[in-house]
This record gives sequence, structure tokens and C-alpha cells, in this order.
Amino acid sequence: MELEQQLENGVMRLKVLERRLDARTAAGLKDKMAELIQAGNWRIALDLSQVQFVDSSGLGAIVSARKQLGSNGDLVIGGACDTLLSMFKLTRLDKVFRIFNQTDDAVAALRQ
Amino acid sequence: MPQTGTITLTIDSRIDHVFLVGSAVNKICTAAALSEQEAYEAEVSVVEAVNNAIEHAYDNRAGHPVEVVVTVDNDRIVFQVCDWGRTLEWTGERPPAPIVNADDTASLPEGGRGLFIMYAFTDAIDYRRRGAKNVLTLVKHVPRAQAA
Repeated sequence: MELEQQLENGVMRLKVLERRLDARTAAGLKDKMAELIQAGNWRIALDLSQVQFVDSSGLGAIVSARKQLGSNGDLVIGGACDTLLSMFKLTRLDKVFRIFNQTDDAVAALRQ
Repeated sequence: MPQTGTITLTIDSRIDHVFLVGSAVNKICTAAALSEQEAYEAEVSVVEAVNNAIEHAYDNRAGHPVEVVVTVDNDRIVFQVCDWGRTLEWTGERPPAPIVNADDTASLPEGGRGLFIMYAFTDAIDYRRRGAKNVLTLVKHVPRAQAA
């Protein structure tokens, strides 16, 4: 699982560098986010701008991180394309995650 | 004149090979005049079905075939996802839409969305045992204007 991470004023920007977030790659993302949360990163902006495909496994990895953060933290989504957005809407996860067109906006929202 | 035909895609029962089927299905759907969104819906539905076959019919054991027969017809595309493993329990009932409470993230399930996605993104779904083979059939209609 290829990821790029950058800490910006207390906000962890985590960019998925894979084109597919599926059953093959989801575990890697889940483990990485768990590691970041355990290290004290409570505000995470997940950059999905490179991702072109997500299945239920990929969604599950993102949900797992949100559950670990609980009410102490926040996880927001940035850069998701229309087809990815359709998955969040279908599964109603768009009610759980704040979703921004641009990851910069997602990071900014967590700084406030 | 609409293009018709059948192709059989076979992979080993390995999760890291599923992208091959998914990518091929997406391209076939695009060639059959489905929109980008419709092709995505078909791709993710087939991927969920293949994942299920690997995880549940074969218990994540490699070395077994998963076959996807894609038939492009005039007004629909039919995907038959076949395995020769354990037969799944199948009620044929459409799963309810997920209940989501944004204020209670602790209760959010991590999994269990695959069948709901398949039902939502396809026009018909069926699962049968045929001899030693389990066949999950997914049907995606080609909108009339696009099929013409």
C-alpha cells in the first residue's frame, strides 16, 4: 500500500497513492491509519484524489479509522472523484464523513 | 448495430488478482456504451461477487478458479460469477439500506456492505448451484438510447 503522509499544523494529510482501494489494499490503509491514530494523530484528512476505484473493503478500512478516532478526533475526505462519491452516498457514509472536493479544503476544515 | 458477444475471464482465487477481472469488466461495459458511472457500478458489483467467492466459497485459499462469464446482449450485460467451492446461504432478499447514525460511529459496521452494493448497482441478481458449480448472476441493463 503506497501512502504519502504530511503533518500540517496538527492535521495529518494522508494521501493514498494507489489507484484502487480494494480488498488487496484496504488492509494496508487500515493498518497505517491505526498506527497514525495510536501515535496521537486525531485529525486526519484522507486524500483520495489518486484513487479511481473503491469497494466495500476500502470503505470498511476508512470506517475502521473513524471508529478508532471516536468522539476525540475527526477524519475527513478530500479529492474523491464522482464514482467514489457515489459509493459514499449509496452506503450513506456521506452522512458520517465530511467530504471536500479539494484536500486542501479538507485540511483547512480540520484546522478550524 | 449494437455489438454482442460472450467472453470468459478466469482468475485464480487470490484477492490480489481481482483487479484483472474488475478492469476488464469496466472496459467491456464502456465498449458496450454504458456511461462511466454505469461501468463503475458493474465493475464494483462484479468485484464484490468475486471477493465473496474467494473469501466465502474458497475460505481465502488460493489455487481455485473463479470464472466470470460476460455476455453483452442488445439491451443488457450479464455477468455470471462462478466458483466450485462452498455454496453460500442465499435468501434472495434485497438487503436493507444501511442505517447510519453520524453521532454514533462506534456502532458503524466495518463490513457487510457488499451484497447491498450488488443489489443497488445492478438490475437483477440471482444465485444458484448448478452441479458442482455456484453461479451468481448479475444483470446490468443498457439504457435504450445508449443501446441503439
